[in-house]
Amino acid sequence: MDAYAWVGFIVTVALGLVGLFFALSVKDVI
Amino acid sequence: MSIFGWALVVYLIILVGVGYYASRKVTDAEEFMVAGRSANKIMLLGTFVATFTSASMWIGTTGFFYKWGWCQIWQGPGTILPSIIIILFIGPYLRRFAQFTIPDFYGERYDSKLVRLIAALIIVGLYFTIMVAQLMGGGRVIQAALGWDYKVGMIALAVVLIFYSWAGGQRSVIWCDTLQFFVILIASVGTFYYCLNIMGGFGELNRTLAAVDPNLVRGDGGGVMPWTMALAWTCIWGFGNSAQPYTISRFYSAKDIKSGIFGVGLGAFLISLFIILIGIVGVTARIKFPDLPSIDLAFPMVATKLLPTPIGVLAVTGLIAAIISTMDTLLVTLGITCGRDIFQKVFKPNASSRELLFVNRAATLGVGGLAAFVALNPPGPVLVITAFAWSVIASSFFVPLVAGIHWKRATRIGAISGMLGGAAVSLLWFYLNKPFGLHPVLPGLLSSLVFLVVGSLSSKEEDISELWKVLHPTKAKA
Repeated sequence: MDAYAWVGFIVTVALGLVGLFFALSVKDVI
Repeated sequence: MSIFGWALVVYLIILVGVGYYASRKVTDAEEFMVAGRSANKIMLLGTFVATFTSASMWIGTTGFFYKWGWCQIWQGPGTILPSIIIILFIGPYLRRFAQFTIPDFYGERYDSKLVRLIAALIIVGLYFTIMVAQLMGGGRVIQAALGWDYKVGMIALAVVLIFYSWAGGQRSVIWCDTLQFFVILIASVGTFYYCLNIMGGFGELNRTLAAVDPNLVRGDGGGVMPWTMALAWTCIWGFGNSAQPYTISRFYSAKDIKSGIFGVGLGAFLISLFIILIGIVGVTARIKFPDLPSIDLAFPMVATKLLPTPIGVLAVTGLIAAIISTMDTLLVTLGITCGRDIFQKVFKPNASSRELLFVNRAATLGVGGLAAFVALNPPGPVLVITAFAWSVIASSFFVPLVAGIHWKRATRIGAISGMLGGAAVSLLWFYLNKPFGLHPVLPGLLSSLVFLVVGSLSSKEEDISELWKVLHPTKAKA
């Protein structure tokens, strides 16, 4: 796979990790 | 009947049992509409993920990976983005608002029965056609995966989900969705493991795929997905799915804000992994079954012909779970919108809780039955309306919702302008055959924003200080 495809993977998983961060640190969100 | 068919029968019976068990506590309208606001973290996680992962994701997206390869990974950011937007800008505020439907929010925030009615009619009209399309999709998936007659499969799904949605409303739907979430999760892990195992690991899978066609392992798919397209899809799906009433109304059922954020946040993480799994299934199908007559057969073929039978049965059951869990949420949203926003708010404001419960149930049964009847022999216009239904809802709901929560100056005139303007422009964009190749959601959202801002600033400021304190308690204290 080329770098552009890997960026797609990384952005997808990174956004998922942002969700996970919110799930585990609820108090800091709002 | 094959083992896949028996598994489906057993699964549907279990769903009826769980849905009926959950419905025993439903004795008033609040239990039916928001499950008594008792959904905990796991339930919110289950119902969010199960609702969000639909037939279009497991069948449609797998098909796109089958046809175009890894460039479709760029569907991922737009699929996850709505969860982040919901957590930061929508969900917690709806939970503080603590009403029952999304039209409730529009009606109260903009102090307007008209805004409520417009929102309710858009939901009822368009979600009904989406419901019909989902039932048709479910029937066809069962036909493809199990070989059942289309009408038998569709009616079997319809009877089960109408029964438990009618009996227990949101409570039964959340319970059944939580069960379906675990089925989807276990099926996904099994499918992921065996696909990679059969293909000799991720590296070997991609080497074999590149030998089939080098464009299948390129991020742009050989010109199919330039960065502009990737960005456009991220915006379209990201904003378009952020204000879909059947998804965000889940926050009303949450026990508290923390449970809602936990469910949606962890759900986002799991969905990001599902996207990669779906990609692996799609490209595996491309290597193993290169000449499928339809790309929609990619997932059913991998599940029924490639995976070991127990894992294949799990995968097919997980697929059916994803389909049912989206339809039940659509159906209960339709029923509650008819009961709460049309019957109670338009015709009988002083309706008792028992009367409202009766009407909610009757509407759920009626709408579900009608959708199944239409899906038996769907007329052409249903498919045409379905093609733009999602875009119209996305274009008309997002801006007035987010502005209503975060912009004090947004007014009734602005909301009506934004709602109708967004819907009209997205419809016009369809009618004009998508000028500049732009998906109708983008011009729809932009025009909704312009209409709302212009309409609000050109009308008199409204006093919403009391509601503002409810939505923003910390700012109010400061």
